[in-house]
Amino acid sequence: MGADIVDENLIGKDEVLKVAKLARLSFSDQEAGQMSVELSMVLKHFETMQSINTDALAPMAHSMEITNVLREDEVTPSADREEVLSSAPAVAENRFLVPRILKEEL
Amino acid sequence: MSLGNRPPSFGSSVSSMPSRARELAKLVREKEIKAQEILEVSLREIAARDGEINSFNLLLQDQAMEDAKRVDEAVAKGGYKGRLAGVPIAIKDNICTKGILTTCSSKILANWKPPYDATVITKLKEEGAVIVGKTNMDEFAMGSSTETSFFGPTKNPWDTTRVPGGSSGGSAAAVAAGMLPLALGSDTGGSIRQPASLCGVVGIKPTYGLVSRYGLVAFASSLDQIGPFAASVDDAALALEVLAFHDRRDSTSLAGGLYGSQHIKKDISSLRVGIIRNFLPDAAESCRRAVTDAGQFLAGLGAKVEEVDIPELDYGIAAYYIIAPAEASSNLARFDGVRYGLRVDGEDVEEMNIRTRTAGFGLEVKRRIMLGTYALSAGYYDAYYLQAQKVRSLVKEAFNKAYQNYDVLLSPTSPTVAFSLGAKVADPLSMYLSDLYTIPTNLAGHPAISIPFGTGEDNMPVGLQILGPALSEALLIQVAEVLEAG
Repeated sequence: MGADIVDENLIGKDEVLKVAKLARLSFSDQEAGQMSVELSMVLKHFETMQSINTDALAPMAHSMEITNVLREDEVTPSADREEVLSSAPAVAENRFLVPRILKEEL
Repeated sequence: MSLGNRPPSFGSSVSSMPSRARELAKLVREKEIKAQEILEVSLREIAARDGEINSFNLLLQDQAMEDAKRVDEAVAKGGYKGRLAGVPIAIKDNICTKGILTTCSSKILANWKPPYDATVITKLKEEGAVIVGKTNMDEFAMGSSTETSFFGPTKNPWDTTRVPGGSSGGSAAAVAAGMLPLALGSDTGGSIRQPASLCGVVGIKPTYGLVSRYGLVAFASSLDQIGPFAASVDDAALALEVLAFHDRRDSTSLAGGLYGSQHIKKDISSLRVGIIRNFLPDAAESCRRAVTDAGQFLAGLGAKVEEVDIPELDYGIAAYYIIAPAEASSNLARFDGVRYGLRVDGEDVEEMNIRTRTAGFGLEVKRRIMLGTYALSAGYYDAYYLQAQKVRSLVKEAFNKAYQNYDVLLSPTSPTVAFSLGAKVADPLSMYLSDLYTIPTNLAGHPAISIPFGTGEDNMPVGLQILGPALSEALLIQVAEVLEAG
């Protein structure tokens, strides 16, 4: 990748690291640089989209008309707890076990 | 190994057994042949060829033999009606199978055994299908070559130096190599049709909501659909008929009984066919020729065939590469090291999350999560995500306008025949452009079918895409059969 491309990056390395934090990912300095180049190339290529006049268009989240699906509030068989917990990496007392959530404060 | 010009045919290198699913199921129901014998042929083909092709992440010999035995016992009792009686089938590894590894070809799920079956799996078993194994794919279905798999790439059976396409490359290659008559894939932006095209088999992306997504590991929920691969249009149609039903567990599942009820069969001489002209200039010569040859053939039968410009479809890919990563970044947030899959420990929950995801996801998945998170983040939402959603409306409106004048549209499935392994790995953008012609269909929620239509550069198969409005599967299948026969 040439320096000229890097200079035009839409997403700089700092931005990559900021987004990575939101996405719960971490990158080395070199990886962040690479990610910055690649994401910028992709967004730049698809920039044509920005020039389309969409004022008269409604945003579409879904291809079909969908409505809430309702049913009677009846108890039906559900997943077995043992079975569900058996695929978890760590379990204690019928619960998912995770590392400390709260830091001790004085 | 090369298939040469031999069309895919199940079991043909080890057996003289009929190769089509419909015929095999009929013979099983009529007690002419046993499900166990068919399975043995499938396992022999797999043993002979999959070492080189790498279609399968997991083979289920023992379990499949049990299932085949059960079908044979049910047939022996009499009155057995299973539409797929004894038919061996392979399942893409992002479709949940109870107690059986379902990895999405990702390190993060490499040891995960789902506690439930996808509804399509339950249905296949009810109809007598025998699940032989789980097939390789691009990690979390993100890719167009099956090279992003944590378990290494699948090879194209026609030329093992080339990719099978993706993301459902394992399923496409297994059918192309004659290991099975049927396989399931999933299609978010072309992941059934593009590998079908590159491997010379039939692949159907159904109307959104026609096939239940319950138990399909989500990539982009508003675009994902499960669909079949087969060596013939008729077999793909049989599989789709089985897969199309209402499922209360999928809130986007359409009402039952819709499949085949709309856009019903018509006389080819009254058919109006549009060739998407703006999809031709960037396609390889062989891919363009397939489309014009198909158009001429249908015109010869009396159909009205003309070229039509639908320039809005060109914007589909830009909208897709915002919408699909945005949905993926949200869907993949569930892989946090808490409830399933890999965990890499850390001092606190956040550090554990970050370490787990950083170690568990491959580069392409990270790229998409980053792209999606960026597009959804404060300050960029309107410019990217909202604009992409509006462009999605534009694409759908353009399709709907075209379908006022045409019953079906034709285009190449892929811009090229299968490319070499490694050719596009280092250039994500060029990989993304492989799906230029398949993506608009997903944005609109419409169905499309890819059928093999001759060979192109270096004798590699070429795919033809036939597109239609929502719930036009019966018509697409009819047109595909006419073209297949001609």
